[in-house]
Amino acid sequence: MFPPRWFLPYDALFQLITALVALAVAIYALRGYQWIKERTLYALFMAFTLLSAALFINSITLAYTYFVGISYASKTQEMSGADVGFWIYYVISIVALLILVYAYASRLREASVAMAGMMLVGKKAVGGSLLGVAPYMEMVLVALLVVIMIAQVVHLSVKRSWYSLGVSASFFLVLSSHILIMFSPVEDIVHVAGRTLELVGFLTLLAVLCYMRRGR
Amino acid sequence: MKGPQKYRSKGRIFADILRAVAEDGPVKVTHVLYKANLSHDRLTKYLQQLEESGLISKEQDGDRAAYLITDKGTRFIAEFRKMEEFADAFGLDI
Repeated sequence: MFPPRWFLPYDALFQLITALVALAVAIYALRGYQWIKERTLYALFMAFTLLSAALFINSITLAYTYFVGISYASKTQEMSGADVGFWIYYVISIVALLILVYAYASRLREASVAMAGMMLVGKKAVGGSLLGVAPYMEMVLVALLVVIMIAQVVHLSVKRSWYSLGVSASFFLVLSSHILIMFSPVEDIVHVAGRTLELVGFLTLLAVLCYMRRGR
Repeated sequence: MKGPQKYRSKGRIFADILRAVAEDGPVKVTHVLYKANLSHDRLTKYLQQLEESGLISKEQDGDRAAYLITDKGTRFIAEFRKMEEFADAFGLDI
């Protein structure tokens, strides 16, 4: 589950960059909300602000574990600073993605599909064998991202634009990254690949935002 | 036969009214009524809100009032279009 030690500084940097991208999306949504006063924009603002905060906390936690030199191999009963940081990261990330799912469920044309997808994923998560090898929190993130991805794919089948293709690609990369991270106990390099995919996913989102701001 | 009417948010109604006013210059209420597809009561309420927000201005011509879009109103339309695109990229409606 944890990154190889040599990758920790890079991991912290990757998380910091993704946090900044999430913050840029949040600011863009806030600017729109100040004009339009639409709940959907507020939901996007809240979701990306929380996601940014979570990623920022994770970045700090990873940097802390690197500098303090915490060993992942030793298992102590007490919760370390790193444990607290990781827990906060997961809880805030889940809340952020729940807000996004709520936005889809309350506003999206394909709301029923999204909810059906969530139920399906929920059933798999409870009965699946993945629980034995991957942390539960990472599974929850994956489940929520699958719901968002289903909604995105259904939306794409109805209305296709370069922007929605870009956002879908970015969600797909982030989803893939969390699936890989779930399997990171298998091999160190899986975690590195997962984090790299996450970074590419967020950079794709940034590219979409930049094109949008420029008005094509 | 008409299909089911799509839900329009307040922001979208504002944008529809502002577009009607912007496209045809100083316009009378009946013109906006037709273009924005609203009842007279609702339109009157929205026009008042738009005027209070500084998005349109009212010109009195005898008994009749005509509406003009302000710079702020033009900016609102531009921002709405951007945000429509932004939300749509996420598969969401505004």
